Amino acid sequence: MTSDDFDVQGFARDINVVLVLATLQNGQKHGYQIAQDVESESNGLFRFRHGTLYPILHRLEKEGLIEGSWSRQDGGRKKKLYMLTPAGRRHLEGRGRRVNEILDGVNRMLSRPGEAPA
Amino acid sequence: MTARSAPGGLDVLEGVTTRTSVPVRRRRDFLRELQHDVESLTEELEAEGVAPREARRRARTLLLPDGESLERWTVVHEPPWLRLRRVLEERRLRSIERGAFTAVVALAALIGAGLVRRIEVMGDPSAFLWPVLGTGVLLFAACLYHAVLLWGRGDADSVRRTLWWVLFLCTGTLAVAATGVIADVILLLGQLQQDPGQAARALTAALRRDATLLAIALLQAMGGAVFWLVATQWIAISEDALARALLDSRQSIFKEQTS
Repeated sequence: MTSDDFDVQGFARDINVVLVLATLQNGQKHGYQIAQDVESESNGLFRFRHGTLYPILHRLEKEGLIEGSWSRQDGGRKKKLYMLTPAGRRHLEGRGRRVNEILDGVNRMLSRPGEAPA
Repeated sequence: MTARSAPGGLDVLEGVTTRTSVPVRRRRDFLRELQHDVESLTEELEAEGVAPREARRRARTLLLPDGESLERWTVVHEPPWLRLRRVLEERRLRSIERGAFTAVVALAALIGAGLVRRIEVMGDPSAFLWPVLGTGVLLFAACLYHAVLLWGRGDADSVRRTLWWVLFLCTGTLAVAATGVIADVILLLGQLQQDPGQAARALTAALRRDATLLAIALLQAMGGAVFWLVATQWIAISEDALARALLDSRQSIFKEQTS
């Protein structure tokens, strides 16, 4: 990997997508549950605050990586649940691998203090 | 997930409803989604022992969008045509829109004229037929313009202000046709006085001409009126649903401020 093919903003976006898709692997969830699960499963390292989650969820829904479905609560109010689609599962595998590669690269660098990067 | 300023208060929800470039249904659904999520998270936090007021505050901080999130959400839901605004200059986009609009109207006018020429009863048309067809083209252009504004750009405000043009052109079409029929009758009377022997033939020809003229004008006016009805009802129903969603979500999410 060279500095040319590493896009920092793209990586941050990939992380958000991987986090959302990964939490949906366990089954369908509401938006607030996804935000909570990301925070609790990452021990507070990642947080979707101030509604940052919804543009990501809606974009993934538009791209067909997750599917949103509406249902009615007991009081008649509507609620929206999200679930992972087969395309989303494939996307998660690919992006997950990419994120792991990058993190492995960073870890290798950090574990060799004093050595100049190649 | 970056550091942000605290999200706004009640104006956050108004911010969702006023994003006119996002289709009304998407805005309404987002309000409902926010309402459900804030309510549910508040209940969960309360069940964990958090005080109700604090639980609601935390749920709002986590879930209600700030300006930046709202902008990102807007970009996701904008129609593809409007997304071009972000890559093209406004002036260039306007000229493309105008060009496409003119091309569609001209094409429709050509197709319409071609169809009219093929109809057998048009062999001896009224002198008022072409003015009626001209108002028909204007009516079609007005309907197309408002359809693009309403369903393409989601700009219901502009449509509400100028939709009367459609009804005006419907009335105009009928007025031109009525004038044509009256003129034809006057001409026919003059003809009959000069040559009573040709009465039957002249009367048949005039009836045929005027019936065709009125039928075309009525069809055009009915088409315009149906469009006007659909557009006004669509605006009324969708805005009513959006207003209700806004009211519900405000009362629920900002319970302590609205009660």
